[in-house]
Amino acid sequence: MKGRLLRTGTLAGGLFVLFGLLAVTLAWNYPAGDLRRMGPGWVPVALGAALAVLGGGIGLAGLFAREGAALPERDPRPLFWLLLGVAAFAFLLERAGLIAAILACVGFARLGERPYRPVETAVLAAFLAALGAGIFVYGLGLPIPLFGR
Amino acid sequence: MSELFDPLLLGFGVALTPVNVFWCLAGALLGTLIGVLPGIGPVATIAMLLPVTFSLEPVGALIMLAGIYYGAQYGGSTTAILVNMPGESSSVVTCLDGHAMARNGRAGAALAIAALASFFAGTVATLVVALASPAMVRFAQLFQAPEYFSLMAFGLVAAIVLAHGSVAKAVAMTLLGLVLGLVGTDVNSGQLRFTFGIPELSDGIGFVPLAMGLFAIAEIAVQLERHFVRGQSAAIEGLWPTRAELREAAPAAARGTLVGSILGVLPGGGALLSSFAAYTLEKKLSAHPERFGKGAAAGVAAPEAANNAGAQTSFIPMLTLGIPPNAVMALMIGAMSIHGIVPGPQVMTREPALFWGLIASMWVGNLMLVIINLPLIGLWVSLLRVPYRLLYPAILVFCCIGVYGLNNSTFEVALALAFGVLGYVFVKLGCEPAPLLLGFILGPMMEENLRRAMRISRGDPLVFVERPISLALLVLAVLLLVAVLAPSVRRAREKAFVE
Amino acid sequence: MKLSRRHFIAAAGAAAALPGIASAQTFPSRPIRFVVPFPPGGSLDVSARAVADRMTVLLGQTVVVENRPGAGGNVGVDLVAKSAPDGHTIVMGALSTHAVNPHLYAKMPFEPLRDTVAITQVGDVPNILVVGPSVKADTVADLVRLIKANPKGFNYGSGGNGSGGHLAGALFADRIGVPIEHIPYQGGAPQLNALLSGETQFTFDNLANAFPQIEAGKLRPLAVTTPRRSAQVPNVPTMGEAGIAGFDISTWFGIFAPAGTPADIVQKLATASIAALKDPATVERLAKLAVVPVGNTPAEFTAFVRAEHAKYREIVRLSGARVD
Repeated sequence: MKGRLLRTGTLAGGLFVLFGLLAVTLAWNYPAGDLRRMGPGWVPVALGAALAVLGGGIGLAGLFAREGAALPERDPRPLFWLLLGVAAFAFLLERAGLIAAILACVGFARLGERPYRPVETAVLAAFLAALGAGIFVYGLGLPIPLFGR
Repeated sequence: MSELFDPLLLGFGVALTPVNVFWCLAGALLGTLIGVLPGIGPVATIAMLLPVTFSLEPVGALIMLAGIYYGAQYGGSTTAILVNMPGESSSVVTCLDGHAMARNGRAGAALAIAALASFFAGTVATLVVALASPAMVRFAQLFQAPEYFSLMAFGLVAAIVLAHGSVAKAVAMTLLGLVLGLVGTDVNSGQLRFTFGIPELSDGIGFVPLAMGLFAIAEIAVQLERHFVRGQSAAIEGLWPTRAELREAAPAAARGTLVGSILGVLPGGGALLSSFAAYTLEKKLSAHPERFGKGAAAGVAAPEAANNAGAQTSFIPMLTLGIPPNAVMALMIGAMSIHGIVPGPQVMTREPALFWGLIASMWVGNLMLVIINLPLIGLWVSLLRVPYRLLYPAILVFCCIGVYGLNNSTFEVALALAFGVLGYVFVKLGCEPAPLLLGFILGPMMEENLRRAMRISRGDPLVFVERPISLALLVLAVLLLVAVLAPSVRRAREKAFVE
Repeated sequence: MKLSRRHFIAAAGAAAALPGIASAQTFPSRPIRFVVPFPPGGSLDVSARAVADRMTVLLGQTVVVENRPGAGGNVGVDLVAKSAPDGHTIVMGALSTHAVNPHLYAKMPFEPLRDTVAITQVGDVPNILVVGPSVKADTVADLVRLIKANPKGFNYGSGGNGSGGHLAGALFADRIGVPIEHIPYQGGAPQLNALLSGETQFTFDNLANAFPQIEAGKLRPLAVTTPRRSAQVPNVPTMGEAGIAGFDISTWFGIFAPAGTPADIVQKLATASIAALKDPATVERLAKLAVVPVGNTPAEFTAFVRAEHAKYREIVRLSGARVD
């Protein structure tokens, strides 16, 4: 049974059901209106319901089919470091400026790579920071602070 | 005949002065160079480069901006082909077969086909703009809310054709995209939907953070996970298209040009829909539809031609009415106002040199694009030889800057992060993101026009079938739906019989 | 006074950064951020750029225009309202952000009258009542007669819920005593398209947006919504002259700084921006956008904004528009 649960079809279906139900729940209290003046709730409820029903169908088909694609191998560590890099960029950009944001972004993102090469990372980060500053701040004059406001 | 060609001669007289040729070249080159950075699409590129043109003469400034626009668009296609990242909605389709070709070692061929198809389409569409603008505007004005609704319905069915895997999952992804598209302030009532009290969400989710998350971040995560080390992509087999590829691409480019020229003139959804529609058409016409999504040359040529033709004809509403049909044209109008030209129906008679010069420079710009880009193909392709461990941090950084730069919003960078997680999950679950993006773009327009049509008809749903264009589009949508579903139904039945 | 602590800390921080008293003597000590809370390209954005160019020369520091669109301008104004009140961050507020949104939005991230100080009104764009090609009306009276004869055949478009066009339309329907269907669009361009194609019958558009179509004879102007006629369309009567009294709706915008900005810095910013608005080149650039330059004093502008804020409470209620 566990194997069937970990099929892509079953999981994808479950995810769609989840999103569909979430949409229906959130949109339930938006006014539905009538045919002449359709309210803002009508379309999201209808779409959410359709998504949930279809997701249910996909999920059940995945669960009960004689065979189905199993969830592929996965290793979320690179994703985690990438996300941390993006988060660091978003957090630092307006607080510490573009240079710090790029350095941190590259520093974290490179942790998703094995083996970790500290010198290469430092050189790459410095290069990209210079490139980013050169193109966007000096070249294009975008209102992005280099070193915080 | 002379009243037809005199204005064009005047235009070329303006466009071919050395100064303007220079601005055109500079614009196309700058646009290509900025647009090729991942995460930075045409709107962002034009917005960033707009101030560069402030100091020029009005004609030169507009010619340069047009050059920037073509350059950015082609640059975006380059990124789509090389690293599977659409910088704007219309290059989502180019990703499908363009990147598949690159994975097969045919990146150079894909880039060349894209450049040549774009040039062909640009040439034809420039003629359309010069000769048929008034007729095209009258055509566009036949489209009211019911027609837009039906057109969007047709587009949604086309979204399903994009998938080469499970049809059910593609439909579900389209639905999810439709729901995501509803986030923000409802145009008709002012109701905030799915915004969780976050003011930044009240204008909806941006396309760029969504696409960057689903494509760029998820793609990098998956590549790293595979311990993607140097030179893992297929060996690069020649830079130029083979004769067979060209034979496949040429008719596709011609049909794509036709589709793009017509749809490009429609405000809002037109230019976006054209590349999807052209791709769908090719996949349905092809003797080998199963090759689509795996590197079919026609799957690159058709959407690229449609895309570029649409880019030209989307100038028509702006030039003849002064009404911008999309974000790029709104920026062009802004640029005109900055230079003291009031855009509107009078521009053609009051500033003929500017009007026809701009049209002539469209063609010159497309020529520049080919001249710039054919030699650059070698350079772009050699980027693929850069070890991935050096390439991906650069892609990530440019994506972050691109997402931020569009609205100067760190919130949107955080949003891209969230969609990165979702994109990763989708890859693992075998769900393709392209239908989601199409649903995301079409959904809000479809709902808006559905409710607008019902309001104007005072609640009578028959408006959708009483108006001939709307009816025709709905019939087409149903026919396409049957054509899409029939093979999978037949397969299921055949399977049942075997068992 | 819950907010004063935030401003106190910000002010203290600014004071600490500049030893002695942060005052007009040292201001501006670095480039000034001029936030435009709307996307680039509109007449407000272009006016901001024109004024910023001139202020840069007058103040000796670059005034950098930065677009921060979102939530009808609320995102950008909120950002400035919460910035250090040292004059180095200013915003182009507008009718929408300072008079309409507070009544329109169920939840405002800031309170415009309390969290920002007015510097000067930059410009004013009159609204104009125009009818589409299919409507056989040459005067407002014609239009009213046609609407009363067939109320179901008339829709008016606008650039969105709670936009100036929507509010003017609702006020118009109220004054003539006939409910008219409002069709909102996503901004000024699509609603103009709808009017040209006959999907809607009339609209109250801002003059900048509608003027080229009027000039080309595609749309017929019936009246301007300001108490005085517009220099750009001198033959078009005002709503009052056309028989509909008490109609004064125009799209205005002006410069604001965070609340707590020292008075002498406010004065210095005002002096520079008013001088910028007197510069002939700037006046010419604004005129091409149908913007009437104003350039009043901070006190005058403050009184104006207060009056507008009060006036629109009733108009927004009339329209029934809400964002929640």
